[in-house]
Amino acid sequence: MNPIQHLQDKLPATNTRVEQSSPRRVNDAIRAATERSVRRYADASKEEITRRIDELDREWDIERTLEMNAATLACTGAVLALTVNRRFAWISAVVTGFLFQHALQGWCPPVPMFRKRGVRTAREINQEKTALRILRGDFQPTSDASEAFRQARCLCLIVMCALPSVASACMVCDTELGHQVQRGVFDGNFTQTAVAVLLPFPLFILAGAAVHFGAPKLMAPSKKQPTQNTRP
Amino acid sequence: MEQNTMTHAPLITAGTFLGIGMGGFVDGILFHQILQLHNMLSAKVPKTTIANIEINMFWDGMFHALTWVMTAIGIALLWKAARRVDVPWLGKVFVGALFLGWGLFNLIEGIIDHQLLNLHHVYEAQGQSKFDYLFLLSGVVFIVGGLMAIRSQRDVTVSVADRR
Repeated sequence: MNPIQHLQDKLPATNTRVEQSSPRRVNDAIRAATERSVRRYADASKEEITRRIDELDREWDIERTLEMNAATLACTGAVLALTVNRRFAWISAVVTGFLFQHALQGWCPPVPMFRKRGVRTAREINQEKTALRILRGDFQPTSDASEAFRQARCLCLIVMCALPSVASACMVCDTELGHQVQRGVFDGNFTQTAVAVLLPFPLFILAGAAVHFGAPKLMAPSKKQPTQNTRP
Repeated sequence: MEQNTMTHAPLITAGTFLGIGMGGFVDGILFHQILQLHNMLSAKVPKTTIANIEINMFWDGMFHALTWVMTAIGIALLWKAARRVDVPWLGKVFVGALFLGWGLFNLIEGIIDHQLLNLHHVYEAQGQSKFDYLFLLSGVVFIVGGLMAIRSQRDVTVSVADRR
């Protein structure tokens, strides 16, 4: 196989690499914000939805934000290196190095900061745009969809947006579903449930002890002549 | 006579604890995980949402942890029994004790969890059903079968010299 092709296969996918390298709770928060936004436009007019889509078209995604950030720092480093001290060239070197890492892995030091502040990937912005376009009726053959159908469609979209977080349910997951599980386990009845679940085990030990002390009686020889066990 | 000082109790006790542990794992692995007929709290927390399935999974884990402890006790007792020359090493007694332990598990767990506390039932889709009684019956059958297997060896003697 072509070594470049091999390297590309090993690296995360282009459109999901930033999400893959972001903490789950940050992705969940962004997803929740998208859901809220879509829900807000469930009853909005076509004009309002169109205005929102235009806003989304102008929204800066993570790549554009990083490009501006890196270009500003690298340019500043280069100018300072040329005019003040050559050592400022290190700023440009470090910044472009991290930009290279971001191109490969979808992570560089400013990414967590931007993601925490809600800067989305192009894919995440497009998800909201697609949902809004469906709400606007872009994909409908007729424009007179009933209100009930419109609500049901909106609900489907919200569920679609929420689907990826469903898989992240565990006792130690820092997600809404994970917290739900923790609340379900450590509720007010935790002690009673633990006692109920573990109750058979002390009885097993008692039964084992009874077997131990009852064994000599159980194995008391019968009246008939004992047989000698012979070993091969 | 050396053979009069022989004792079966350590082997039977070790086998019983191992039987309890292995019986617990049969329940946990076969019914909870492979067939997914029930989970620890499936009668109280129905498996209708992912959160509820995870809650059941947590309590399944607690159950498995204690089952593991029973098995560990059994292994420790078996290890001690193996080092004693006055314990006859009889396969039929050991297998009988394993069944005795398995039967005790089914009987005690069935009475407490299925009948008294209603934490779960063998076939949860049917709630309290004939399968709960079959589970109890299997416990009684294993206990009786295990005791019979053990008692069938009571006249078999092994001298200390043989054990060495």
